[in-house]
Amino acid sequence: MTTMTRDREERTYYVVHPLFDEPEEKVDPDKLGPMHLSLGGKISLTCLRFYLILMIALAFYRVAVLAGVIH
Amino acid sequence: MSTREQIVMAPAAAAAQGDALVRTRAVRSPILRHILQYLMVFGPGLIVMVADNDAGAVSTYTQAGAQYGMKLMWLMLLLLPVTYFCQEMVVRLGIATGKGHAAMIYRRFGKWWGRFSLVDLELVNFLTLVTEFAAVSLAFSKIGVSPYISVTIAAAGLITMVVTGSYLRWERVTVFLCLLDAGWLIFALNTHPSAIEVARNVLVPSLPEEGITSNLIFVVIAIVGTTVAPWQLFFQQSCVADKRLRFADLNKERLDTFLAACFTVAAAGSMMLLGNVLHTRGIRYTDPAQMATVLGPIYGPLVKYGVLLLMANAAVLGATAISLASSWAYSEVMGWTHSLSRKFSEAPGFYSVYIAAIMAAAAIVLIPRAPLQLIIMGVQVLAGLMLPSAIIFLQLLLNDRELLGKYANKRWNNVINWTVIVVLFVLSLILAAQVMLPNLFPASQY
Repeated sequence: MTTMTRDREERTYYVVHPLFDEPEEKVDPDKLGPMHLSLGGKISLTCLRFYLILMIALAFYRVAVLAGVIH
Repeated sequence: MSTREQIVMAPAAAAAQGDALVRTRAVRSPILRHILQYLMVFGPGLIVMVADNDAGAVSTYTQAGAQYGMKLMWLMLLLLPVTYFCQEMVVRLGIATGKGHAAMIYRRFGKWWGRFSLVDLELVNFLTLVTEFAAVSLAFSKIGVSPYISVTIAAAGLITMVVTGSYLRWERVTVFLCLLDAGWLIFALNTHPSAIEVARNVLVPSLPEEGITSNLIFVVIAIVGTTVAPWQLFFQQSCVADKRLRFADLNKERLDTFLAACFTVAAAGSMMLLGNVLHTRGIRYTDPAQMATVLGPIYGPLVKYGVLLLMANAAVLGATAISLASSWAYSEVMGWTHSLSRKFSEAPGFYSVYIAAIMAAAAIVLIPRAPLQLIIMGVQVLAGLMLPSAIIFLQLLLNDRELLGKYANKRWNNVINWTVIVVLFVLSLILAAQVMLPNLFPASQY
């Protein structure tokens, strides 16, 4: 954090490395709990789930074909 | 003395900490203030971007250049804003929450998605780690060093640079290794490519003469998957959190990420130009190490050994970043202490995951006749298939106004992200169709 000490004649900036600065207050997701999803969001994640399972299977199938394990 | 008005508390306590490079500085010039701020903040962006040009990337880009010349260079310009915007979002998320990406998915989307993302990340990361050590083995074999020596030393070095208990020490070593990547640009310029040809192929999208083939689709997906890799999202967010970047550091970290993205894309284009040398001479490409040995007689031993060492450097950078991404993610979800600023005794779980991954991957590479080049290309495709999932979670988290408030996405962020998601899904479905219907696209000569 850069601090500014204002003077009538001069201004001094203090440049502090983040590792050595005072801890900042962050947003705490633990207090919020799970995200509220709309119906569209839930459908999207369900479709994503099936898509990923299909794609992983296809990727391993492709690698097996290239490796000559499956003909 | 005139009246002094203190706007923010002076960092008296902080002034006593840190070494000569990072201790609190008092400056009078606003320009110097910004420069010093940038120098203290930069690191996570540079490391994540340059580490993205890992062994798999070197293999993918040089192969693209060897097979298609400069025809795919326009893809890099297209991917530059994509990779920047994705990483910029994780920077915002990391600074706002002070937590890593895995922890955020777990907390906001529940255990199923949290575990899926974690398992997916750990699997892809581990396979990628194997490819990094494979590249080290391959590169040093061409120099005449036994894999048993090169891989062992690389593993030992990777472990040593992390377990010192100092984030700053790790970051400085890694930044130095990142800057060595400028060698790719130097060697590419050494091949004297036509500036007009390069500019035309970068700015004007075009297809190779043979048109759309199954191999072209495969290479394009591999390029996309290696340029915008899922592990990058997890790495940079955790790194930003570990470095304790502040809200005031956001713009500097954005600049760090943007400049690094430009540097990385330039290096990637340089790798394509090196591969292009084989294309123009009609030499068949096997792997980057073979390419280096071909370049040697043409441009001299400096180019040959330089490319081999850069290949090993890329692998080492990738290995440390990917392993840390895994360690941070796993430790975040398990609730373990996870910081490079902690000693081994204070964060045993975090360091153990890192060390175990490094040692296991190194051991696999030393198994005789492992199909390493196949694993390298396969991992890039796997990462490309996983990417839509990672981007969707990122998109949902960045639109979580309850969590981020004013740091949530703007409309233009969402337009770009959803465009990227749609394109990635289309590429994935094309790949799936190609697998199911092998004759969908004409076969390639490669």
